[in-house]
Amino acid sequence: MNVSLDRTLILLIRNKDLMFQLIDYMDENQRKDLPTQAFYNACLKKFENIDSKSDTERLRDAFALENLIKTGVVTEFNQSRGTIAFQPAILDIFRMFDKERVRGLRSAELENIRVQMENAYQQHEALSFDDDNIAFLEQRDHLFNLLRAINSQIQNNTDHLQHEADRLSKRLDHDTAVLSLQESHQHKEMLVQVKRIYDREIIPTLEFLNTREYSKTKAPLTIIDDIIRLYDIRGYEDDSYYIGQYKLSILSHYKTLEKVKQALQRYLHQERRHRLTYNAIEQAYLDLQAKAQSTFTESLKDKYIFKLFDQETLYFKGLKNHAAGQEARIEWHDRNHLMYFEEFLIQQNARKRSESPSEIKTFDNRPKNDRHNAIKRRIEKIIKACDIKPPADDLYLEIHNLLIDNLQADYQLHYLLYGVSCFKQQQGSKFKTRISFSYPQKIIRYRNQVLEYNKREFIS
Amino acid sequence: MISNELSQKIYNQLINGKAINKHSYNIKTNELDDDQLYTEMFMYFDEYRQLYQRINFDLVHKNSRFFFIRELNGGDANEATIKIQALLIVIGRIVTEKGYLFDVLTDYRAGIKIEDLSSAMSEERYTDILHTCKLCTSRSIEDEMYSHLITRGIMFKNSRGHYVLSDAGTAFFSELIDSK
Repeated sequence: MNVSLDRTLILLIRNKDLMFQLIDYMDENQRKDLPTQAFYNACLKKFENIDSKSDTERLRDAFALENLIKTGVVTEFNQSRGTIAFQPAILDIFRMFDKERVRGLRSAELENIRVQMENAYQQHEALSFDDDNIAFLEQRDHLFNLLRAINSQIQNNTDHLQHEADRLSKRLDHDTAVLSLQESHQHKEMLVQVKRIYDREIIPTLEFLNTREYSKTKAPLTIIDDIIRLYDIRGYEDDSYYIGQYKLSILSHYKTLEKVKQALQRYLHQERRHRLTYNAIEQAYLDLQAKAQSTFTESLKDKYIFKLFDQETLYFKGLKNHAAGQEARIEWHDRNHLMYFEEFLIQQNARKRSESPSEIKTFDNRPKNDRHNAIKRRIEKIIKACDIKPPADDLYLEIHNLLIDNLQADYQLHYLLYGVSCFKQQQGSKFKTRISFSYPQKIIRYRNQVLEYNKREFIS
Repeated sequence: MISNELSQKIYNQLINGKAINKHSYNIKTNELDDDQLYTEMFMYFDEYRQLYQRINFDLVHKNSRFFFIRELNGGDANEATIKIQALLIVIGRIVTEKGYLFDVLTDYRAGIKIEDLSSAMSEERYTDILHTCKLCTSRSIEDEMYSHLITRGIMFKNSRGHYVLSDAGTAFFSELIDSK
């Protein structure tokens, strides 16, 4: 079903979020056309959110591609590429609804305006100024239309830049304390945006409005001056006055733009500093990487980077290595060092005593051959059968005597350790042993063997 | 007049290869305070310089941000210095390459988490470099940072547990940027 242009436009305006979405897509991807699929997807999403069935039907009819083409809202439909392009004037209307979506004038657009002005001047120069000359009248009308359009474009451009500058400065000033990596990422993105606006929009517009600097191409406002002069010379003072007024109106935006430029200057310094930091670190990293890569050879001697550094280039050149042992003592003279030293010796001796195990010191430490552990098995039986009851003052001595009596010639001092451990295994759950430290340790001598041990009392 | 107590504290730090920074981080208040050792050295710089010269050290006041000592007639480039420099460059690269503001590393309230660093440093391009500097061969990056940067006063850990450049670390990057 066909829907008329005015009805379609009204529906588009009522549902302007759909158009904003499409404009954002085009701006983000820096394109003037739109993939048909993106358009269909946006429409479907929009229809899904409408509750009323009749409204949905109405929108379906209005936003059908055939209808948009027929009404001229979509001016281009490339089936092979699968793209559509909206009428630029309609896009501009929607951009005007939201300042954020007003597009600034880029260099190419400003150059286009300049070329139009130059053409207008050349046309006027070739014409005879006469009210009966239709060509002149047409050119004059064209010139005034052009001046009106330029004035409005520059006005929109200034508003857009002012809005962008305000928006960015508010965000950047708000983020004075960047405390997380995510925040810092956003902050940096915003600085890049400032730089982009400055380079691509502010500077070209200021150059466009500058009448003082001369370059190969004439500045647009100088061309307007030339046109004014033409009208003056040919006796059309009124027209020249109005053209002059247009020029002043266009020029009045210069000051506002200068202010915007100054406002962004601070952030540009920040951005420049970040860029320099990035470049410097990148350069240092590449140098380091090159040095590291030069060590990737077959020579095992040169696998480290250290020889490649020039001493003079090191920032912390000669920084002292760690020397944890060196420490200045504070208030040395106020302490009773003799007392501290004695205390230290006592502590050392106590530690030595507790750490030293029972061990056999002997001239002949070769153990007697105990085939199939026959003696050890006998010891286990002897210990099992023994009647040592608590309290016993020295467990080692008790077991030593017990084993001498039972093993006789087969007994050696190192079987005492085995005997004590068997005893502890058997009796440990019922009774306790208490170690008492003494210095020097207790000693048992037997057949050229000496056992030094800490006494164990056997208690209940 | 030189304070004996401060002078002994200064000696303990410098002789152990530690930098004395203009500001010290107070973890309890999460603020940077003026470092009293730095102030003491700054006030009696000539005396301290002479003192260390007598024991064969050059007292260096770098970029008006921190002090350290180096041996007079020192030999070849020492490994420790190169390790510090390599670690700082790699840390700086990770931050800037990921599109973060470098200020995150210098703001004592911000800093960078060890997880962010260690995940990036596990990439081959960084481990290759670190290994040629005898770094991260047997120890983790956290251990390496602790022994080469934290104990030397080139970085510190803030109350959030994030790593932040001290005055000495920041001065290194400032000089790097100015020299390019």
